[in-house]
Amino acid sequence: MYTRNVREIIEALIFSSDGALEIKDILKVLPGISENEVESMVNELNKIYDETGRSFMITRASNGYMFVSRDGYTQYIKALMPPFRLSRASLEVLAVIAYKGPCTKQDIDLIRGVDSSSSLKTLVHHELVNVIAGRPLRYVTSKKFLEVFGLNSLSELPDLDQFEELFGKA
Amino acid sequence: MSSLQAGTEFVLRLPRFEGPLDLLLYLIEKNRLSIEELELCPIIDQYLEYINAVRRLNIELAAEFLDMASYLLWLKSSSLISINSGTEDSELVNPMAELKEMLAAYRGIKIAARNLNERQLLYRERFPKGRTPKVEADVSKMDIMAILKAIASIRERTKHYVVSIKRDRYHIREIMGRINSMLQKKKKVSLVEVAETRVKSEIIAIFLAALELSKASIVRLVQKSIYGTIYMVRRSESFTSQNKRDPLRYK
Repeated sequence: MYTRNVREIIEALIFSSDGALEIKDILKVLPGISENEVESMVNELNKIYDETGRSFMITRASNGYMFVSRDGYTQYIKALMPPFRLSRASLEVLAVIAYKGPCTKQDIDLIRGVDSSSSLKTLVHHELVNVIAGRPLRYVTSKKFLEVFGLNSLSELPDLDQFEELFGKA
Repeated sequence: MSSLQAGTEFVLRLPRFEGPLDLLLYLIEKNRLSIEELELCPIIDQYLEYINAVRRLNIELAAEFLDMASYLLWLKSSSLISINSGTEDSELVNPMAELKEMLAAYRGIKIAARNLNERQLLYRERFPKGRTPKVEADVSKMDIMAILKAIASIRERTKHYVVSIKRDRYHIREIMGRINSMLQKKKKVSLVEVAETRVKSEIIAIFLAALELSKASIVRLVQKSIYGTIYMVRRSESFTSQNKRDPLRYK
């Protein structure tokens, strides 16, 4: 049916993608292949990488797949690019947007009780947050946000109520 | 009193508070209270203590901390009033409940933020293919030569756009003096004669000086036709010492 192994076609697609490649895009290229088949082939690929001692693997994020380095290589990569960390303030702003978004800056300030301008700027700059045009501007988390935090969708975030259970009604 | 001790402890912890709500949550936890059973009095005292301690150190406090302080005091006073009058306002929004709600919401976000932080593997433990995160240059860690080099390169790049403007300053009073001395030699002087340069700002200054002199009744402005030359004609008697008003001091 295809001139190449489907498994390797999937590998090529993920390899050439900038950021996570969504499964539905893979299915578009390969009609007749199911989502489960894609998943099992990705598992096979990962097994091959593991067995042949590759330094990378395919990981799931943002309803798709992307190549990332394996954990053992972190210290060497870190020498070239400093790890990316967000400040507590930025993480709080990001959390508000992830749980309450799309929301305005005013919404965010209200929940945090402080001005959030500079954190918002950082988050937009790092493309973790997208701006929805309009008056007032509204903010939503981006595809990159899902990638960075290893989520397929926002619904995978634990419920805020669940936190209450986890940490008690302190 | 534990206040002094507590004060010093707070100061050390200062950078950890993201805002007034954060500080309140800390105090509530420290007092082993829950948001539900929040009692205002001890919390308010400690809150104000903290703010005073910070101010003693001359550290600038975000305005939000002070806003919250006045809000808490208002809350305390309004709760006292409602106890005295014995009216449990059921229709009005209970401000205390509102504060509790705010605290609970913020605490949820705080925990969610911590959870996000723990989730993050990408760019920390695992790096994606061929995508370098945008890293902000940390200016505080750069050596001075690198900064000077950067400034030089910016200068070089923007050289063509830099136009140096020389500002000519003309004082109207100075020009009024100039006109004065000219009018002492002859009775009639044209505006153009006064100008020493063709600079626009000087022409404007001369025009304004002429208006001032005319207003002070020292000269009469004469123009024969539209766009014609404007002359200043000395008013005969006003220019002598009889005139008590010193034109040069005229503002």
